[in-house]
Amino acid sequence: MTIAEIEASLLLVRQEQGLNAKALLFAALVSELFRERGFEPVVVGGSAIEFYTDGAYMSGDTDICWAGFPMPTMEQRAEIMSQMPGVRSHAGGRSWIYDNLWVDLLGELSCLAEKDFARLQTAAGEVVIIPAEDVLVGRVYAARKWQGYNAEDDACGKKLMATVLSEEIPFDWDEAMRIAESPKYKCLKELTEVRSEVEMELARKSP
Amino acid sequence: MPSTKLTIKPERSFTWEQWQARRAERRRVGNLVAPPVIRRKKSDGDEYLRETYEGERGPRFNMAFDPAADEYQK
Repeated sequence: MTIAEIEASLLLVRQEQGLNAKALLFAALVSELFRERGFEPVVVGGSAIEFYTDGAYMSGDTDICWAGFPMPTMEQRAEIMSQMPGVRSHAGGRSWIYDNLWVDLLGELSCLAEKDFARLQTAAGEVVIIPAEDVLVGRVYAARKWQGYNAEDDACGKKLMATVLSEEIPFDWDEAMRIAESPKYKCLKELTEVRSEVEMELARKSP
Repeated sequence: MPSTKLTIKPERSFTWEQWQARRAERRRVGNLVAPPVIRRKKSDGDEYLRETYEGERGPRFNMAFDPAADEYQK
């Protein structure tokens, strides 16, 4: 990208007022700059959930991991991020801030539904998001199995489940169940319970 | 600008307009089963997040259509 293209994208980020949209625009620009150099950035974590649900869940940072190899070195990350005027780093190049919005450049992507990524095309570029199947199973696991019960993660998982059951996003149940049964999670029982609870809640509240 | 080399199924590829068009409905459905705002109280990176956002973990949700915006500012 030319400096003029980068500055035009940064202007879009600054002009956007909504946190979710603003974070996705900035992630799209960052993604474009890394893809230019042969890397495959993928948005994970709370920002990915926010993309799928608009659930008022994300914090002020967007997490980006790397699909496969190569992964950028710390020097490459600094070089690529420094193409954006006004971007500052923190924590040795792991975290970067622009217009009050943080991006964390993390490690290799851990993802089991490798053919179910989502892509959002924005005016600032293209952003790839971790599959909803991975996000949902991961959140159910975090809420009900990993360290006991976590109310915030459970509420988040239920919102994502409601979005799935309402067919607001494409979703492959066979893939989700395969992931839930995997050694990484072993939480098929919990996933099924959340699905039943949300189905009942939606049936009770829907006209 | 280079496109991703990852496999993306056509039904999982969204334009900005397609994504924006369903935001309010996704939020409505989610709010049927969980509170409007469920941001975690703590996580990694809290220190610099709280420094940036006056003690919070992020800025306010402030989309005009967003019922959570009012809720969060209470």
